[in-house]
Amino acid sequence: MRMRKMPLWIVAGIALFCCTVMGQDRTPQTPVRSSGYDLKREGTLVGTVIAYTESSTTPPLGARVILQTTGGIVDVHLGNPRLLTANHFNIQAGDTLRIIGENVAFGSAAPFLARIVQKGTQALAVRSERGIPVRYVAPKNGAGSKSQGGVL
Amino acid sequence: MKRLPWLTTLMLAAVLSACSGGGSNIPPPPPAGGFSVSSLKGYYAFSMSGLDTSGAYLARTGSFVADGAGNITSAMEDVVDLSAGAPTEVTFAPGSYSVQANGRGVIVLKDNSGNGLTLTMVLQSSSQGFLLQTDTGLIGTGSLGSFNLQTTTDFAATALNGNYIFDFSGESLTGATPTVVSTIGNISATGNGIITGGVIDINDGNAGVSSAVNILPGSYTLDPANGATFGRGTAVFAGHTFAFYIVDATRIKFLQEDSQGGSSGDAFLQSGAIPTQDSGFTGSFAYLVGGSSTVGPDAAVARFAADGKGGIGAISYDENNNGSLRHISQGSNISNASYAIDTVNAGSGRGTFTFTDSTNGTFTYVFYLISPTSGVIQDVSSGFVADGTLLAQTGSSFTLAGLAGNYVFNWSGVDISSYSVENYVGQYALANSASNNISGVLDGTSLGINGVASYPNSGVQGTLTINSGGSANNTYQIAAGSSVSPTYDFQAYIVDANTLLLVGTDKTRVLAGIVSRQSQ
Repeated sequence: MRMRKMPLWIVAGIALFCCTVMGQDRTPQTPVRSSGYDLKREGTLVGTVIAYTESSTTPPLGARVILQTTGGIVDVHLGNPRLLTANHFNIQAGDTLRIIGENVAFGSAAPFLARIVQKGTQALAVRSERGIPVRYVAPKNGAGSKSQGGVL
Repeated sequence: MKRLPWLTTLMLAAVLSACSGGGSNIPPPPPAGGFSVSSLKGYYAFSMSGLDTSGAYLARTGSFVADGAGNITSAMEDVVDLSAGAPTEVTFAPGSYSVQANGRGVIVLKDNSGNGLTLTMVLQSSSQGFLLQTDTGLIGTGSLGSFNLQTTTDFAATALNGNYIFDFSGESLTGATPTVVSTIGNISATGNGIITGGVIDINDGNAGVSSAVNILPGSYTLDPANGATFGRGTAVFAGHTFAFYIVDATRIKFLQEDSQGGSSGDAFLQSGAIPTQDSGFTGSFAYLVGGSSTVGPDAAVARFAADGKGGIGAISYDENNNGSLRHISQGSNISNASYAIDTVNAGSGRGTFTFTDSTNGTFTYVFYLISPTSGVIQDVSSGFVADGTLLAQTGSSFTLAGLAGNYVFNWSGVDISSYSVENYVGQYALANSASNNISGVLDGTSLGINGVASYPNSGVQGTLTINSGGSANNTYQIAAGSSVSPTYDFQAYIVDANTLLLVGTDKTRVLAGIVSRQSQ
C-alpha cells in the first residue's frame, strides 16, 4: 500500500517548468508571508496525476502533486503526508483527482493549496475551511474508520 | 494508521537511531555542576504535550513525588490521547530517577498495568525544569513539557483566588475537520469554587478568530481522592471541562478533558500593576509564537518597543514558515505599527498590537499580561493559528560576559521534509568567548510516520554570536554528536541575562525553543 513516488528531481523539474493554470496569473509581485485562505476564492481542479511526492524539496514543503488539467499543469500542495497515509489515501501517477482549493501567496509564489482531495469515491479534507492543515485523529478504540470530514 | 507492536517499534527505533542522525564526533562532556538526586525532592506538577505514535494529539498533566534519594514514591497523571478514547487518570507504581551533576536526569515510571513512562529531565533548579518523553512504548512518544515544585499547603480550593491568565493550545474537534486551536484569556476565581467569569480570545483553525469573548461563570473543585495528595482538581469554564494540578496559588496546570478536542496549558495569577490604558504599557518586549499557517508549521520570534502612546517601534522579527525564512527590521518598510490596551475589558490585561511590513503584509496579535513584564500572546494574522510567550526585554546591551553560565533548553517542532515531530531538551555551559562558546548535551526524539527514534545524551557544541548589542536577532548555531540532525541553526532573541527565545532557521525543520539559566 505504499504510495508510488517519483524521484524528487523529476518532481522538482516539472514544478520548475510547469505552466500553472491558476498559479502564475496570481503570483504576487513581491515576496509575502503566507496569506489567508478564503472560501470565496476557491476553485476546482480535475486532472491526471503526473507526479506525486510525500516530501517536496521546494517550499512549501510537504506532500505535493503535479496535476495535468485541461488548462495545463498545476503544482498542488496537499500538506501533511501523514494525514494522507493515515487515511489510506494513495496517490500515484495516472490517478484522476478532483481537488478543491485555491492559490495562496507564499514567498515569491502562490502555490495552489488543496482543501479537499477526491480520488474516485474517496474524498479527504486536508485543510480546514480557513486553510489550516488538518490534524490526524485516529479512530477511537477501533470504532472503525472515521471520516476526516469534507465529503464532497 | 495501525500501531506497531511495541517490539517492532523498539527495533525500528534502534534502526532509525543507527541509520540516521548526526555524524559529528562530539562526545558529551563530563557532567559538571552541583546537581544530584537530592536536588529533586518534593511534590512536582508536570505538563507535557505532543503526538502519540499514531500521530494524534496527546497531552499529559500530573504530579510526582521525589524523595531526594532517587525514588519516585508516588505519581499520577491525566492523559488525553485523541486516538485513544476518553481521557484517563493513571496512577503509577513507585518508580525511580537519576540526576547528573549537570542537572540532566531520567525519571522511570510504570503504571499499574505495567506500561512504562520514561522522561528525560533537565533541572533548571531544584524547583523546575523541562521534560522529554523518551520511551518508545505505546503510551505515546513525542511529548515535551515542564515541571514545577508544588506547594502542598496550596492544595485547597481557597488557593485559587484572583485573576489568572492562561494559554491553552491543542486540537479542536468541533469543526468540520480536526485542526489546531489556541485559547488565551483571563478567568477570575474566588477561592470558593466559583469562576466568576473572564474574557478569552480563541483562534481556531476551523472557526477562525473570535476576538474578545466574555465567558459565563464556571466552577472548580478539588478531586476528593487526589486533591490533597497531588493537588488535582477539575474545572468547568468557557464551555470546556478541565483537569488541573495546582503548582501553587500563582500557577495551575490545566488539561482539557471533553469531547471537543484536547488542549493544555498553564494559568498564572496576575500580579503587579496591570495596565488599563495605553500609557501603562511601555518598554521593550520579546515574544515567541508557534503554530500553523495555511502552508504548514510556523514559528516566529521577535521584539518591539512600546512607547506608552499606542505606538510600537524597534521591531525585529524572524520567522520560519514551513521552511520559508524571513527577517524583518524596523525601517521605512514598517507602517501602522500600533498597540491598544483593551479598555472595554479594563484590568483583564488584554491588548492587541499590529504592524505592516511593505513586503510581508500585516502581522496582528492579541496578548494578555500576567504582570507588567510577562504575558501570553496569540497570532491572529490572517491564515495563522499560533500562540506563545511575551516577555519584557530588560537590558539594552547584552554581552557574552554577562550571559556566561549554565543553561537548560527545550526545542520542539516539525521536520517538514518528513513531517516528523521533533522534541529536544538539553543543558550546556555558555562561555565568554567569541566562538565555540557552547558545550553540553541534548536528548532528542523524532516521531515519524514509521515510528519513534530516540537520541539520548548527545554531545553538543555551538556558538552564540551577539549582534549589535543583542537586543534584536542573534546567531545561534549548534552541532550535535548524535542527534536527529548534525546541526541546528537558530535566530536567538535575548530577553534578559537569564532567558533566550529561539526560532530555527533550517529550511527543512521548523523549531522553536527557550533557553533558561540554571540556578542551584
